[in-house]
Amino acid sequence: MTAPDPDAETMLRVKAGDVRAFPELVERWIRPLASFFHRLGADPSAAEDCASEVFYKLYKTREAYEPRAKFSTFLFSVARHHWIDVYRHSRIGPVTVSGDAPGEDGGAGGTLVSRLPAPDAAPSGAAERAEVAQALRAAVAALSDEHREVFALAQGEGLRYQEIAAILKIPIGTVKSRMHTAMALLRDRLRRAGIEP
Amino acid sequence: MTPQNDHNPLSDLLLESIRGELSPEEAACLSARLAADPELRRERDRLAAFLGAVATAHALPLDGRAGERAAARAVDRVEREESRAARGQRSSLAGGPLDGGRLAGGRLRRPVFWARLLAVSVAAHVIVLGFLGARKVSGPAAPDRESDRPFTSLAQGPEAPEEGAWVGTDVEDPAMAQAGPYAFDRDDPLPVEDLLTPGDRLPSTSRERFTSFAVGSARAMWVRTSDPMKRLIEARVGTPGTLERVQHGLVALAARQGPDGAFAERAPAAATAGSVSSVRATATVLLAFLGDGSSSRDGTHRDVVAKAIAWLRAQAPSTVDLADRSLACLALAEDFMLANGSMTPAESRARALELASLRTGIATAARSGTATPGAEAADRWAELAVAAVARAGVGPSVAAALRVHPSGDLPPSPAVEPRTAMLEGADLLRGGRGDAFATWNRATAKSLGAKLSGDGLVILDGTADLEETALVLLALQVAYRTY
Repeated sequence: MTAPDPDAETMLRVKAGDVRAFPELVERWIRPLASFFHRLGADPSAAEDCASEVFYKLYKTREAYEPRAKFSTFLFSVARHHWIDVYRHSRIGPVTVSGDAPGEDGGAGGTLVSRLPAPDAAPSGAAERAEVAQALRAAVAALSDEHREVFALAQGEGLRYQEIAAILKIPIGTVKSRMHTAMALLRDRLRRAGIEP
Repeated sequence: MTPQNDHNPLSDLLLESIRGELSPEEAACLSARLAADPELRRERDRLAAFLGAVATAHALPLDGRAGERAAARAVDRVEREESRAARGQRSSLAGGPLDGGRLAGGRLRRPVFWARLLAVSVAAHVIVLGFLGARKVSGPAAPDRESDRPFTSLAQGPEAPEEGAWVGTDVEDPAMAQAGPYAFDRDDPLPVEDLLTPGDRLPSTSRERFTSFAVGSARAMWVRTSDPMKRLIEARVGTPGTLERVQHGLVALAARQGPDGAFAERAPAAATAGSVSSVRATATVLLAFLGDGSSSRDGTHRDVVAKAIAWLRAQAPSTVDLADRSLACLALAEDFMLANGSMTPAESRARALELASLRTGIATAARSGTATPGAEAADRWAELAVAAVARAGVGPSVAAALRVHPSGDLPPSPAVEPRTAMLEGADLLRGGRGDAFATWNRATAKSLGAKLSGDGLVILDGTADLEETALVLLALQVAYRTY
């Protein structure tokens, strides 16, 4: 017996006409959704836009909602389709930055990836942390679409492999394989830059 | 060996363990190995730290009301669509009563034939007679002046909108088609925060509702130079008379410019050789002029700005103080944005290189923490300067650098500290808090506007404080100077 899914219950309230339940749902999921789109390659404002669009679609089709799977599985399926429709196919939006690109100082401090700190390094300021985060994003952005997708769902949103398999409609073994490959690619990339990830 | 076939089964197992995907048997087996192998434990810790870092790298700084806003927009958009669909359905089912009004979608309902014929006939007569009458009284049509356009009428007499009321524009009007990126649909008004949000940060739902669209700083700079647009914004979120106060203050500041083009922090009634020029005062005063649309190439105070910019360009590279340097960079970047279209390629390139150099210095100083400890304002100016240079199209794109600083709950009365007022107002706008901003803006106009004397200047100890005056003007300009 599966545990009750509070988000699915909230969505059913929305379906039944309780408009006030909808903001609860949006509040709960807007950040994970926006981060998901950001991981896939959307810039921050486009990521928030994408998340808003998903909620619009969700509300528009509320009457057709059936809790056949976990709400998160359903939501990220909608999100993924939105990404494919709007971004991947229309080639709008995501501008990926190579981890090998020079930093804002023109390269005097090395490439973005080379600025990744050792795991035990103490951050020396907000600006530096921001630059490190940029380098990490660049490394993720360098993954292929299929690996980044799995990585974003698995590592970013913390979804289980089973859920990811349902969202992507691929076997669970393929999810694991892609995740492991993504991790290997990321760590290899950082290692080649002289960092022990 | 490529990473694809470089799978280390143990690493994969550690990953599954961190993710909680192992079966109880696998977890027990791994625990035993971890207990016996310190290097494996270190590897697990490294992997966990790495995954944590990647997860936080993509966290987005959404403000506290992002969810509420997105939900309201989604519901509003769907309800409007459903309402339109329902009206369309009703109209298609309507019979023939004389209810022949015009629907939002612009389609006529099906009226009785004779009623329609009569209406068309009357309308045609009215149009023809009206046209002939107008020709007789006014002669040929006046040239297309900006003051003839619909925006101008918004701030005039009986046509001025009520405070807080939305004012639409007719997108079918040819003049409005030229009115720029702020043209919008009368039947589909935007929330004020969208009107004032930089274009590239607008939600796509709002983007669709603009009839034309320009991104970011280009639109913001256009607003600064458009008096009708500024009046529209004043009518929406401001206080009547604020624009005049700003103009008055700028004229007073212009009269106190030093012969070298600089401004002193404090100055007597007229510029004298005894006044001490200051990078900070000059940059701050310049920002007030730039905020009102004057640049070194155009605008009411073009000559004043051109002289001050020339002085600042000479001083900025050797300015050490982070806040001063950032203010100078911000002013130079805004002038570049406003005036670049009028520059020769060589001038443009020289100015861009200067900005790039200033920006690098500021970013480096801010990163290395060489600013005065605790000088939060310096960091904020540095952040604005770096973002402005990026917005000007110089150097790397760092749109995300312009963070929205959470303002928390709106204070009961607005900040009376002019130095931080502009930053607070801009935060409210960038945070999408349009209603809160309108409250803040009106209260600020009242409290800070009162600091300006009848001469348009802030007077402290009997002397005009030019820097303080400029900061007050910047706060009064927030609604239309923010980008």
